[in-house]
Amino acid sequence: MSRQKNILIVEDEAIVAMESRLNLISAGFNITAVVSSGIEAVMMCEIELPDLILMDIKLKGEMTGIDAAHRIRRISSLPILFFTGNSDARTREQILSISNCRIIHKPVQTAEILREVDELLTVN
Amino acid sequence: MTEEQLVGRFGLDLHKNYPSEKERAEMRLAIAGTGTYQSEVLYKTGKGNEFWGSLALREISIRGSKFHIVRVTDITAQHESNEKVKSALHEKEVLLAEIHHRVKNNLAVVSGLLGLQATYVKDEQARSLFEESRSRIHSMAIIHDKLYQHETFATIDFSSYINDLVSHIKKLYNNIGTKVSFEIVCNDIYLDIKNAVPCGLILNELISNSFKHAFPGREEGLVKIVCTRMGERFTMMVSDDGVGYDMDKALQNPTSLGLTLISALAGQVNGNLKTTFHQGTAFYLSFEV
Repeated sequence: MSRQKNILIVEDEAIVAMESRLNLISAGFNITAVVSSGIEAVMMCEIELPDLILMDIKLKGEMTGIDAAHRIRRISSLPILFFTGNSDARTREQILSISNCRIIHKPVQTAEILREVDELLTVN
Repeated sequence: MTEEQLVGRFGLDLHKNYPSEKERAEMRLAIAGTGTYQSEVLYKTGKGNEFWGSLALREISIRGSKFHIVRVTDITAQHESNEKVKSALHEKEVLLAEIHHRVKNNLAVVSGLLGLQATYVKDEQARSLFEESRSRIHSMAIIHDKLYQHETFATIDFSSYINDLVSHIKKLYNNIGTKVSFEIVCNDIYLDIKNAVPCGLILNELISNSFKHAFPGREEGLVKIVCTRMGERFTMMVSDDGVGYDMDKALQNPTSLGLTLISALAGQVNGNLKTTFHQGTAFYLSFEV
């Protein structure tokens, strides 16, 4: 499939964000921005929608990744891939109640993140 | 409250919150069954103050008429103390959950650092060593994730852990050209972090070894993982139906970090190690938990 897709990374751990960015760029994706809070993610989407968002749950500020996803759903149904260190049943349930979302758990392997991104972009 | 104020009133009228129909039905059921009823109730005094009382009620019969003997003991101090303990426990649980979450996130950062460093390495073999290290870190991160999910924060469901670990390693080796199936038997076994970490790391090495070396040129392969617990004795068996190799000999004189780790970690849990290599390789580890 074509790799010329735009991805927004929302992650407050700089190292994790940096690695994800590098891996996705190496795989041919375009990273529109790397932001660390939910509100920045929503603002970025209001300016220009990416093709996919890669987002953590716990972020800087009050707004969680799940809150941000609900806000983004008001303007778009774009695919969101959550990567999180938090895999309890309640969080999982909350994420899966949002349409067009998937979860992968940290630490994330490069191959896994690329496969999930590819699959989400293929079905959308 | 004076005698005059009390006589002629129902006991329930003294409750701060009048019991619901369901609560009253439960009281009636208890009295009809055992002739007694006990509960902790928030009462109101004649002056409108509140206190927690331990209510003990017994039904007696005098000349065919039923009466209730009621004793209420002021337990406000004890109740407040219990509430403080409950609150402290809840706070401890929240903190423990946060710590496990933080540890897992920190392991993700360490894994990310190795991943970033690997991007500056040109040699393919050296890069694969970075991936192996990341896999070891991941096998520990899953344990903290499981501890975070488990309500006591003390032990993990080892079966659930094995399934997650296998699923993770499968993704790493999905390009080897062999379809590797797994049979996992591990019923109702819980391990604490002291034992789960070494067992997880050993499993990571053994499963990765099977993927890397056991099935050259094969379309399909099978890996079995069986864990049992008899009293305090935990046994873990990992076998594959691959080419088989003398792991005993290799463990005596390890030539790779993986084998060195298996040997060291088995020693850490004071485990007995045994391996066989007939129709594949089998590894047995048992120790007191």
